[in-house]
Amino acid sequence: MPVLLKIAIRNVFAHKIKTLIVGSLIFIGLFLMVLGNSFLDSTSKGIQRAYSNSVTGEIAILKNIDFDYSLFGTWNNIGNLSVPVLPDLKDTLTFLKNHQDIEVVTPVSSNMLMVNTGESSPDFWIMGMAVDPESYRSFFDIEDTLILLEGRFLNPGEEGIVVSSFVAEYLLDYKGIEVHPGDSLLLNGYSANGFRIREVPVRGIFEYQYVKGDIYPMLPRTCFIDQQNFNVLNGIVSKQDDTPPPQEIEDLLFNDSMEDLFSETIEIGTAVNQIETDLESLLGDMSVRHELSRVDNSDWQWLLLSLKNKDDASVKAIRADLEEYFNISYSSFREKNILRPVQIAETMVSPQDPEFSYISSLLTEKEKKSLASSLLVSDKSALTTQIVSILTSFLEREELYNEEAFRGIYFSSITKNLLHKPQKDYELIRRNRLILEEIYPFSLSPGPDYMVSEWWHAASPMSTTTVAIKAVMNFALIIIFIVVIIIIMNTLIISVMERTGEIGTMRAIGGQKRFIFYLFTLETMTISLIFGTLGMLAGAFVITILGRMGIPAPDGSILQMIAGGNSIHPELSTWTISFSFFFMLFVGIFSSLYPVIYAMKIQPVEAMRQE
Amino acid sequence: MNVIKLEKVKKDYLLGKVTVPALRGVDLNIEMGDFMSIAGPSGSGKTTLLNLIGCIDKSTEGNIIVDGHNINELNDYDLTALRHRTVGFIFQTFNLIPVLNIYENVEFPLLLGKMKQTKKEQNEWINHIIEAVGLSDRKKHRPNELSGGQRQRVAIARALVTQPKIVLADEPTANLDSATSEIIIDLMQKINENEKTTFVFSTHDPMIVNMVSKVIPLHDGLIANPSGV
Repeated sequence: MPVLLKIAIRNVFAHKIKTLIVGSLIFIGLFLMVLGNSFLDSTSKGIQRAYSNSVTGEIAILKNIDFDYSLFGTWNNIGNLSVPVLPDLKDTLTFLKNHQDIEVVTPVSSNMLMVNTGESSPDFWIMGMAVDPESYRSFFDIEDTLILLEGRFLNPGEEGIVVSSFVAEYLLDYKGIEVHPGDSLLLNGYSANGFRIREVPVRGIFEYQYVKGDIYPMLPRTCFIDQQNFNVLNGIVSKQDDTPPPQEIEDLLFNDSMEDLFSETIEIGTAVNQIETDLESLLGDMSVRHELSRVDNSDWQWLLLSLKNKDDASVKAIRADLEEYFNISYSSFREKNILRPVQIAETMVSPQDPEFSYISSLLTEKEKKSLASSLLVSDKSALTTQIVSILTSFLEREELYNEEAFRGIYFSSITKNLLHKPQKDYELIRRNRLILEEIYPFSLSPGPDYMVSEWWHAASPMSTTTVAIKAVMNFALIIIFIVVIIIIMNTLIISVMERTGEIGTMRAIGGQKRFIFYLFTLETMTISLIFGTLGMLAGAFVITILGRMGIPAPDGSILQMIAGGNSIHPELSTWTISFSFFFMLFVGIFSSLYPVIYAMKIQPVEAMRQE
Repeated sequence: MNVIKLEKVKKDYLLGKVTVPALRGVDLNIEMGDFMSIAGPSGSGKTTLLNLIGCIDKSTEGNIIVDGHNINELNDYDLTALRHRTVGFIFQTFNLIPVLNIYENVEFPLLLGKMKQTKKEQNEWINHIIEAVGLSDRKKHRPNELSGGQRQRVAIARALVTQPKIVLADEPTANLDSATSEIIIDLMQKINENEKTTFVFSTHDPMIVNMVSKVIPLHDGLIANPSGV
């Protein structure tokens, strides 16, 4: 109704004090909101850009573990847990390298290492980051993201450590150790596999260009180290090494045949003497020692992915995609071994089943015969066992496992199982599992059980700190708005009370309650819209100027940490504007709710009491 | 024909924890075309009676029939609608809407209900009423630019614009000087004669009491002379 709008707008101008109080609060609120949101928005983008460009990439993959683990160790308990290594890395690497959305993949590992600073002084810890120099270089564009103060970055296949300027300065200032390219550092590693010590040559001294750390010292203490030394120090030694040991070791340990060893004529003393002499000579020879602690260079903790499309939506989509890939392959690996054959057997006991006939069409003549003979068994549980055993043997045939339709039957049989048996017969599954384990004692090794995370997981706790800072800032904003809403509400109530006679008159001459509702809501909304828009414009204006000028973030300040750089250039986003707009509507409606209800309760008889 | 009929109407007010009776059993008939006044000293219940007749208050006991509806049986929405089409109000303090000009104030009650005329007819009608109260040259003025007498004429125009069956005027001359009061009463008397609109005043202004055709003397919440006149 236009008359409503007319009255509402004229009242905004007629009740100047009310309008000014409510309006200026909304103006300040929206101004702060646009300012705060743009600031937080750009700092979070800044830190994200800085970290994903220099440290983490857009997506980081690690082993699926049930404790918090980042590139900077466990979040709360550095170095206390054994380092999780990615299983079955080779296949995964091939898959990822061929993935159409992935630009570069680089593997890294990291863990706390101690710099041995001599007997009289306590060790000094650093964050050792093992890298594959070739892919790391192209991944992070290290000419841009790292400032090399001395020396150079690691070369492929080369032993060495590139020390951060913080570590070099600390060692000089507090331990009196000068570190330059060409010197060596004595590093200690502690792991579940024991205590290791290595002497590692220093190749260079660097500083991160864009990422800074202050509260948490992990980032300044991060030093790049070659994978060989890292794995040795962390006790990551080859688990399945099929290559025979070098001849000299074999000679040393097995120089006598088994018959000789247990023959009665063996002279034990001579043999022991011989071994000791050999060991002495061996200990002097570093090459053999290295050979003994040879590591598997496919053992890494992390895969960092650089994506072709780096916008948030694509990162989320690819993350979900990869998560699905790893989950399916992991669970299917697991169920391939045990669960699925059982479920299939449970649902496929009838030869009339179309799925059954489909499977039998895939079988060789021999397999068909064996299946047919198993169907002659009348005992249902025995039949199940038979089918399970046959199906399990089919699953070892890779071409069947890769067959789309065959896998489809897996899924459908699982679904069927769930549909037909809401109360799952766990006892039956358990029994079948036992039978299976008895018949087929194959290993239950899981597939690649990976966790796909975004930059902030890998960059914890630095990234989580900025999230916490943002949360505190948001909390402060919420408190401000609660206060603002209360003040606005109070002002509106007083205004409604002053206009009791006017409201009563409107009611007396035929205005319905809803007319009063619309009138007062419209009045508040008009004020909110006018002053809110002005506040937003003022905020946008300031942000534009600040965005051009940049807010300097002094070295070592928290500002620098949350900015992810040396200055913040806040920018407006459509999200900020639209969020502020809806928030403005919310504040307008919410703060006028009680005053409007109050106004609606005013009785028409109040018209008679007007003075 | 009865426009309004009151049967044994009682009205109590709560003053803190004390119940104060304002009306103690009033029977009253108001007929179409009446030009009457409820008269009595302060506290006799004049305004209370007027509020009940105008459906802006409900009685504690007894029935009030307005235009055939028992107002005790109506909800807030229907009661408001009944007021809108049956009753016009003229207040002691004028009660114009300060942000609307004279024309808009007179138009306002029409906008609260469904439009029965075309826009053009409506404009003509509003202009006619404003002319009838003698304010054609003040249409664009806001109430605070007018004198008390002029404001009350606007209020009269506003009360008449919906062509109500009854117009209630609560001490319409209390805030006016005697010359202006006379003009205002004259105006209403003319409208009553020409349009047959029913007018009910509440007043202790002897001038009004002398000009009306009926007086209902109210004393301590009771009609002193139940026979009327």
